[in-house]
Amino acid sequence: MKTDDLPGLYIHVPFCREKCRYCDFFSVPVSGQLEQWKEALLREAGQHHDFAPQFGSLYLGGGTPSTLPLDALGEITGCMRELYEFREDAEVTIEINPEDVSGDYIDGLIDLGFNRLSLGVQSFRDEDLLLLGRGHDAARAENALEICLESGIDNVSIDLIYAICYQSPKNWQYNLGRALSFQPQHISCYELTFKENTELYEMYRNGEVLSPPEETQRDMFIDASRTLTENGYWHYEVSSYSLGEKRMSRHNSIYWKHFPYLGLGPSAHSFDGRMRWWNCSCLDEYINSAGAEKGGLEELSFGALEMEEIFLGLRTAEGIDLELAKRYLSDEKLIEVLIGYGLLNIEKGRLVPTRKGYLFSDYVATFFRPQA
Amino acid sequence: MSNIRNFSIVAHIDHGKSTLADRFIQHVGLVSERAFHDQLLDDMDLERERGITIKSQTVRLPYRSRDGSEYILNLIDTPGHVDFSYEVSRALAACEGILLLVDAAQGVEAQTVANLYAALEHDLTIIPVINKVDLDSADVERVREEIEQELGLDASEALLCSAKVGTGVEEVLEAIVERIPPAGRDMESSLKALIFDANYDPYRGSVISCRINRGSVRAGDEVKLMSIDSIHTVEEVGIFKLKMEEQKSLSAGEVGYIIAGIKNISDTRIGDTIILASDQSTDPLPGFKEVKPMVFSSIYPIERDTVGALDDAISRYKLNDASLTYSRDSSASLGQGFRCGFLGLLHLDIFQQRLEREFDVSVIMTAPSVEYQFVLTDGEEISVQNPQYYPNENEIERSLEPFVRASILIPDSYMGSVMKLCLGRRGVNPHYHYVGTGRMEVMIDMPLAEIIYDFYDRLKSITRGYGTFDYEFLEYREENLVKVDFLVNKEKVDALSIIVHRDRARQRGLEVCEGLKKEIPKHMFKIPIQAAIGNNVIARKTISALRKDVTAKCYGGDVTRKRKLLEKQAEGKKRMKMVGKVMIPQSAFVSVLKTNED
Repeated sequence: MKTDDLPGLYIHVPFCREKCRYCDFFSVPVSGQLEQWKEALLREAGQHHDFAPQFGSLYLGGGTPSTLPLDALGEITGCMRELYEFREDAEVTIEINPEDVSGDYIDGLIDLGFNRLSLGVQSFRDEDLLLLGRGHDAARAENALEICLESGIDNVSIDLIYAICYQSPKNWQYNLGRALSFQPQHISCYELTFKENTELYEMYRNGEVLSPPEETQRDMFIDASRTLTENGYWHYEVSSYSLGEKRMSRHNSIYWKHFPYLGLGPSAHSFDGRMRWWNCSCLDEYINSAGAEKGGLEELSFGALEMEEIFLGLRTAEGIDLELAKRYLSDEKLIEVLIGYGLLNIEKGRLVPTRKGYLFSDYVATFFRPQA
Repeated sequence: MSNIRNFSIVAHIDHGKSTLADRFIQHVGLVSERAFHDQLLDDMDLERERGITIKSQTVRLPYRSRDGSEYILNLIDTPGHVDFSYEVSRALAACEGILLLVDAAQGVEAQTVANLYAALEHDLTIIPVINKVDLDSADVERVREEIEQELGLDASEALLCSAKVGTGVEEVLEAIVERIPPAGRDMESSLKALIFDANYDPYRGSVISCRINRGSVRAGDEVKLMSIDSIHTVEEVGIFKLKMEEQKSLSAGEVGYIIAGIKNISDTRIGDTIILASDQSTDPLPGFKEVKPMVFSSIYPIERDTVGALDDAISRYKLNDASLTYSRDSSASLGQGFRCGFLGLLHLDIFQQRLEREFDVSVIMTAPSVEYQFVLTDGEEISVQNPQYYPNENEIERSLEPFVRASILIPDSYMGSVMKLCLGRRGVNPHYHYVGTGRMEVMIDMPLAEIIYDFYDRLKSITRGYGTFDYEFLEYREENLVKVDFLVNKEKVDALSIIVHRDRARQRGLEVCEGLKKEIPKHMFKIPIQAAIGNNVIARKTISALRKDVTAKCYGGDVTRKRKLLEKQAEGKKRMKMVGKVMIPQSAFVSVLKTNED
């Protein structure tokens, strides 16, 4: 896997037209606070101008960044380019929702320098989209994807969710089939998780919706991995697939490889290789303090850093260094045990997860012990 | 006349003993109002959490009475649970009188009665004190009646107080001075001191709590511990205020501590007598006995190769808990460890928790067992307190198990359900009678093995906390016993084996299988759990395989949370033991204790 050794810059756009039922990321309804948020963001950016000499990626996530008009986006990206140095071939991604997509809007994004689009499709079935509380239907999603792919940007990712309550394995196969028919460069498949403080979580708790049995969830994961890899996609992280190494998400890989990243905007997390800190999840507070008000900060010990490197690495095709792994196992024989279970393999001095290993990555991680 | 009064407070759990002790400390000015925090005497975390006294503490209270005379009141605190009756008896032997504390709302309880008898045995002066008179539910007249009827004491002598609010405390102190006989001050005779408690100081060895009955002792004296006939040089003597305070000497009537460089932990035995080394006396103070444990459990270190550290921790613990017995033991599934004997389940529980908290060792304890006796076909009689050593089935002529006589005090409305509980636990020969309005005492013979499980908990829950219970050993009786083994993933885990009555084998087997299923986490493979008598499987459960275990998203904001979760899980894994291919958590070994009757 090609290593991007430069830090990444993340910007959290906290606005959504409507809150999706499953989402626990921080967001507020699109409001008149756009200007204030933008102003605070630019001020915060100024405070961190010396975070790194150069960045390898810029990622606008949310929330829904595509709720922002092009001129606002232009102001933000322009300002970032002024404040920070980006490598010439930097990956510049924006998350967009199907309902915001038009040919003109996408062309505008390309003009602003975005070279990667991440489209929140989630499903190609209306039933699923309705249940998730998405602001678009299946037709709109297909249409939006078509526009993105035809824009010539050549690096489009879609998000899909599986194990949506009543979704059957057949329904999921249908979604995978539709996705394949478009051949996006990147597909993320997330299992639906009932997160606290979401509408869906409440519905689940009240028995209004169910979750498919674990057996089915597991089958859906394997279906996705099989179908997509058989069709030329590379399963390079638990939930991520790309058409070839070049199309993997360079920005997201920064998180998994434990490289530094700077996060701006409410609730955004930053990591400089030693410290991690995060902004508060409150827009008013963010605006008032321009990000100076922190939600938390931690200094990581060497052992904690290595533990993170281990569990994050074990979620990716790159795996972890075998010697590092051995140091964190109470008994080296455990490697044989985990290989025996079909969860890991040793490849070129690295311990790498198998497909089944992805499915048990939390379990595998528990074998590695933080050192005293 | 001597100005020393040695006394103790005995009470049922929760009747306010520690609070009253703290009031005394505050009243005599040992601590300032500001430094005062509740329950000073219970200085172990565990005691504070449970609200009961496990280890006795002692404090010397300098008191100026109303008539202006100066007194020394030595408060000797006693453990407050039925498991610790020997320690209570030694502490009482160091006193001339007791305050018998009764809760004004709850009245006389089983334990109050038991404590009263213990005090009467030592011929102590008894001052009944009705505490918590400030409560809305206080019913002083009814409690007075109970004191007359159930305890046979003169209720007109009872004092009223509220330790919590602070009323009546001075009257109690005055009564101690007036009614409790002064401690004898025979300083001419040669030293005789009673050990009633001991603590361990890593640098100085045993800190012995003692009552000087005769003579005196000072630093430099050569002294002898009579039960083991060992001689030591006294390094320091002193008294307990809130901290230890060195004195030139301790003399007859006084209560204090002796440090004599006793590094060998098991040398200090509660109830032993200290005399001068030059004294040829062979006449110790009465009452010393080797305590007899009733309940046995094996203990194994979780971390490999730490059996030495565990040995050290147990022997240090033992100094402070004379009633614990232990010897080396080993298990095919758990390796090297120790077989320990306890007075009861609470004792066992406290032992485990103190080991972990104070000595920082993580251990696995096996399900407790009582001591069984077997008469073999060749006429040999053997005792077995570890199911591992259960004799060959066809060599057993007769099996015997210990029976106790349980005394249970309950409000009469719970009679039916309590009888059902007792009979379900193989209780026989029940008697019952009223012991006051609406209260009954049930006397019933029960196998000890049936009450060391969760009997007390069940009783408490059935009677909504109103039932109390005490027991004494009765005799060994012949019963039809059998050993039940447990197989986890087809492998016998010897540390899980239990000896049970044949009629209860299947039921207990199933309960344990269910408990294990609940406690053992899912693995990558199916884990069959079986209960078996010999090769005959009598119950089974299966732990299904883990199907998946993965977090869908892990981006910048998720890493910290995820790492913390892993750290917590790793902490939990420290408490697991690998048996074959299966990780068995500490909690699984005691799941044998849980029953699922209604």
